[in-house]
Amino acid sequence: MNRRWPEPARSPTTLRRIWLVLQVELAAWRARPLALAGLLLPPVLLGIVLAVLALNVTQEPVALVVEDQGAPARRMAAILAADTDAYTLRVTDAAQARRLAEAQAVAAVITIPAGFSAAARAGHAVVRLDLDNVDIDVADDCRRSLDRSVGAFDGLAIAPDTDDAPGTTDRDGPLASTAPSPYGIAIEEHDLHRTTVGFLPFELASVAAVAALSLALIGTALATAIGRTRGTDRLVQAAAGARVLRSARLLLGAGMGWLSWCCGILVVVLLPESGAVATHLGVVVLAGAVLAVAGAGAGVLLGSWLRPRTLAVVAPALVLGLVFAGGSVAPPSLLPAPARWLAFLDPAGAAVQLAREGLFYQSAIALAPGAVLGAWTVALLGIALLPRRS
Amino acid sequence: MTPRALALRAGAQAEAQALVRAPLAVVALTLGALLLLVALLLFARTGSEAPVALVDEDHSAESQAFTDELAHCHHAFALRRLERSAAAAALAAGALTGTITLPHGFGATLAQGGTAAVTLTIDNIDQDLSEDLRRSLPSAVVAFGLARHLPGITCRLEEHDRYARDTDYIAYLGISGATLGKLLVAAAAAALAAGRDREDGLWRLLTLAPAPLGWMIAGRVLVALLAAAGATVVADLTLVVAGVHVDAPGRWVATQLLAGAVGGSLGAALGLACRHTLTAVSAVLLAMPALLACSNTLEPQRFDGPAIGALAHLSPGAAVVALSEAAAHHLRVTAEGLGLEVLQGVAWIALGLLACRWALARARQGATA
Repeated sequence: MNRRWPEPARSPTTLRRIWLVLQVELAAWRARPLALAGLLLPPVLLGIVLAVLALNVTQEPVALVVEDQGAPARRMAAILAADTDAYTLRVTDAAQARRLAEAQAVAAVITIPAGFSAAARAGHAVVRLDLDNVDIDVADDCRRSLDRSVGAFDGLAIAPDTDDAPGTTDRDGPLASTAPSPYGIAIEEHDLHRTTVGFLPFELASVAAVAALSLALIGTALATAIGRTRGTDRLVQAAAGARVLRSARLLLGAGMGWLSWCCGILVVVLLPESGAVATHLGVVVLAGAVLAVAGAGAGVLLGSWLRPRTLAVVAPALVLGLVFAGGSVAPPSLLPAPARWLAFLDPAGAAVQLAREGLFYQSAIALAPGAVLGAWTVALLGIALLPRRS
Repeated sequence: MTPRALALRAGAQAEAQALVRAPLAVVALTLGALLLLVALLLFARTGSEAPVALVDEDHSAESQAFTDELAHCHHAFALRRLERSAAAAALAAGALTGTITLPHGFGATLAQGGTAAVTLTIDNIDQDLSEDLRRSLPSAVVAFGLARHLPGITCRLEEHDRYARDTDYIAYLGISGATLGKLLVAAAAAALAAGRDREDGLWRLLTLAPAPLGWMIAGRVLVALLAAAGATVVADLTLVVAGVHVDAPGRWVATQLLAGAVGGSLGAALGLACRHTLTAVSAVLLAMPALLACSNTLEPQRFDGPAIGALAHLSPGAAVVALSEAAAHHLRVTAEGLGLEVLQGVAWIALGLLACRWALARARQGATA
């Protein structure tokens, strides 16, 4: 019998091997849908927390009692009613206002007392503020807003920005055409940017970073740790090689992370009144890709050292800590100096800053955050792909 | 020793051994409490003392007087004196929220009875911070004019505060954040402890044991709560570092114990009701934003409107946060009296224990089926 043995198959190329291992890894994730859903828990949580914090950044509930019917009193009441940015105003009588204040349904009671109009004509009118200063944030908002309203009564001049080219710097010397103000000072406002962004859209860029790191860093770390502790990695390494396995994991983790970043950015852009101009959308998308690669690299390293149960605890805390330290909840300018440096060197913070600049600013993108992010990515990727003794 | 006491001791010993063998759970609890507190303390910084550059090109007595008013303006500004070019560069780099410029001739114009212009340049990307600045500068101008007794001013504000002194927002949020953190950490720890044996498949065996299962689980939960209390000490130390102090330490400790007891009873019920501890802990995590929204953590809940104010009554966190703010700062963050808040806390503990009993009975039925 002349049996011809089949020709031995040619050894697959590296890319082909990476592709095959990628499919194995994808199948492993498809078999664990709950684990995949669990990776989305940190960004979902942070998004909901930020939405809750955004509710706090609103008008203050205030009761207004008008006990004088003269023209100056009505003018004062109209000024207060017109400031809808500052107050949720409820016009009521004194007894009801006291009840509302006692029930903490209002943070303050503003009273335009009887005799206000006559006193205003005589030059010594008083608006009474009864303030529940239990919460200084609310109390200071009320104080500042009321000062502005009282100032407006006497004609405090505030000229809002009307420049066609925002960002112009201050003039030299006082304005020649400054209208007289009884306060001796007129305020001229200049806005640095054409767009203004609400609290929630501004903060949601950090949710995109958490999503990217959750899937890239935590996902890759867990896949690496589980494969290592169960011994399945040895089988794959024997068939395809250690570097191929790591490359496939990096690709998959980075891909998942980048996809979640893009979804997060899309949410920011589509939010009503987000103010996103997306001048540098390409930079934003690229920043997400680079962050995802850095996250996947860190994930390979963490997964090589830590056990899955340890990772399940440490990795989410690391991701959230990185994003908080990077200036997500409070901008770095509000942090103390050491924390500002931490935020500058933080790769998640750099990615968030690039996202904000690319989405909301119309000026050129700063180079420093990109350099920080790039340096971290190169370092982590390099270490992750280093050959190791098996 | 009675069977119940034996069972309690056995459960406590088992949990202590589990925690010593795998201290990861304690690490996770510590990190959880710390992260929540840090997030709130960071948020507290956005409400006041915005970094603003003062560019004084006049250097007169009047400009100094106005600068003093700016510095004292309702915690509005963290002023930095800079030259014009440095201020513009810092603003463009995002290191400042705005710049205020007092131009040359400011003092002379005021001295002659004229009106001087002050320029406010705002990094208006962040609407929240920029609105704060827009309100704060007029406030300083009004205070400046009143201090100089200018003749054209016909109206002024007369303020009467409920409390003699303001409580710093970092102090307010620190106390409420630490209390809420204790409640959540206790809930997570109790859920893990209560559900551990079921998840490990030991319940079938334990239901056959002569010792009462409920007391064994109670022993586990008690030790877990002790571990949770230890974990949250780190958060309390963070408060100390942040400069937050407590007016009535004894009462405050009692409120923290109440928060732990509320969280522990509810968490144990959750742990007994869920098949997997991961599900129970995830439920606790997902409850966190809801508790943040309606537990008086950020501000007295009624300020947010009648709907959220009413919802706060259903929140296990609202009562304990109210009690802890009263103990720490003598603040009244709810309209109800403190006695009622204590009753509410006790009611939540009772509800949690009842739910534990029900969940245990159900789980025991399932184990012996």
